[in-house]
Amino acid sequence: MTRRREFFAGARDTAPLIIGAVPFGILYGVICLTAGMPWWAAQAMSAFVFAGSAQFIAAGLLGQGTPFPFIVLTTLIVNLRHALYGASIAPYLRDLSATWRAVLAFGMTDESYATTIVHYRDETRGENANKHWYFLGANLAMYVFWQLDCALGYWIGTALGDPLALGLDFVLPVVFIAILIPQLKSRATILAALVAGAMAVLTAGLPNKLGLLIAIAAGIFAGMMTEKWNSRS
Amino acid sequence: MEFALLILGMALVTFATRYSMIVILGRWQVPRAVTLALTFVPMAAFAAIIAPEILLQKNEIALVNARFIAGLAAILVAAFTRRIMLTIIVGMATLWLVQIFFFH
Repeated sequence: MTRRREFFAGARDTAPLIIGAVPFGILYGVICLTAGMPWWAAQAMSAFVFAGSAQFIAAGLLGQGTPFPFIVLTTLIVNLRHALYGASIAPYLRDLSATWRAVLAFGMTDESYATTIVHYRDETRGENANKHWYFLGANLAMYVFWQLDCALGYWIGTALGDPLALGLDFVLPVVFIAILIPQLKSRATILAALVAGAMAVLTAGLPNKLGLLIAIAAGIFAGMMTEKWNSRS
Repeated sequence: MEFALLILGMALVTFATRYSMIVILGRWQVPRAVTLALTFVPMAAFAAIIAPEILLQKNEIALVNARFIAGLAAILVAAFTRRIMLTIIVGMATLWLVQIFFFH
């Protein structure tokens, strides 16, 4: 395919996932407002960090008064999965310039990675030579809509104003529940969440939100052990 | 200004996770256990933020409080319907109702 056709195919194939991300972008905007972030900080985080889960968690931690270095560390841990995406797509990007690879890496999200890796691996979809334009199209479409969703969310939050004030600080946990629960589809994921939650409660008294890291580690451990036990029996 | 520093830090570590392996060119075969472990991270992080928010009051476990009851309602709706907006509406409405009728 030509560059132009690859680019638009990437944007088009990612569209269903982009639409799926719209409510999350809007909720992120609302959450930022309740966490006390000014609009420019909420928008700048979307523009420069551009990572949904990490942005949510950062806003949540900000609302709880977590020290900044700790938020950065949590961001790193939450985004480590992107390193795996990078590893799996790297062989296809080998011949690109450093600029191309940096631009594609910056824009890589769960959504655009998912569609692009399928496109690269499918040999019936033609030569791989121009498929980086597909990746760029997927990234850029996701990026533009994510910025708009977040701006819209912040604006909606501002417009709601007073009604939110009734239970302002409860919006965050309830939004997190709405995001988390549907992801728990196996015994391992349910146990990981339960153990992480319990551990977070038990370690809540520790300084600097140290308990959060312990809770995440305990959750991963519980999930891994369950998977191991499942595969044995 | 402090927000700008936070965002800069987050942007740098996020870009590092995305770019590092693309540069190393995937010569390293990632062990399956690592892939599996990382799939649990976002879920564990979300759960670790939610639980203290609905269970604790001034660092003490308090089950008889509006936030826990509303949180429980939201969890049930999310588990049975998997619908995001419905979960949020039920969760917030429960909080308001419980606060109005029981804990003013």
